[in-house]
Amino acid sequence: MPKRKPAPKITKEEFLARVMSSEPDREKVIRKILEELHSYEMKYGMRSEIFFKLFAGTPVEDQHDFLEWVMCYREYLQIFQSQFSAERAPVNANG
Amino acid sequence: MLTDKLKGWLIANRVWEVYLLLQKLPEQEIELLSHLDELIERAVFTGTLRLQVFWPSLNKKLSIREKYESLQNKLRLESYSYVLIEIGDRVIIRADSAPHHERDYRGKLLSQFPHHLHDEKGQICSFSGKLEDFVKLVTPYIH
Repeated sequence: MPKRKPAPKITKEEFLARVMSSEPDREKVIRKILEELHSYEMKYGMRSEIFFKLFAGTPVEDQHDFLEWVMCYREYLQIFQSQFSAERAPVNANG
Repeated sequence: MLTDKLKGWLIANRVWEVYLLLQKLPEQEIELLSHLDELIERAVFTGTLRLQVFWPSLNKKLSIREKYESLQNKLRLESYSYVLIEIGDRVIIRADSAPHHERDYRGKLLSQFPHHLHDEKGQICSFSGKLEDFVKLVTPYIH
């Protein structure tokens, strides 16, 4: 007879309260992404921006590691794009 | 445009859904390879959630990467990569939505293009695009 699964250790409300308790830190996230990109660059001997220009959207990215690399570089681009959008967002009438 | 707070809340809800899905797998000790609050923080800024689950007794790892598009008050899954890996980085099975295949290994059109699965032999198969279906496929390997 299969073992009975344990119930989740925390409730959804507790989980949400825990993970939403701190303010997100953009700089910390950028550092982590750069570390990850650096590890791919060391492994494959190519700069991420060059890899992305050459291979993003091509069948090369169909290999697991390369797809992960492409997605990681897209995260890198996205974080700066979102920062730019936030800086350009209109301030309120009093601002 | 979604605020960071709302985006974080929506992503946290998705992480909770994934957590519940993982509860459906056979009971095994698991480790999450990053703190969930850090994953959510990263996803707020990048729009991409990356969750890795490790089964130490099996030497296997499940990697879930989902990229979202923000739509008014919700997130839409734009692309994803789900991978079951054996330690040593051997990919066992994986699924993604990159549009590089139109047909399965038998030459039949994929039932839900661009979603597809690379099976254990590396053959392309049809896939629904749903994480819950990938988790079902992972189940036989988690014993």
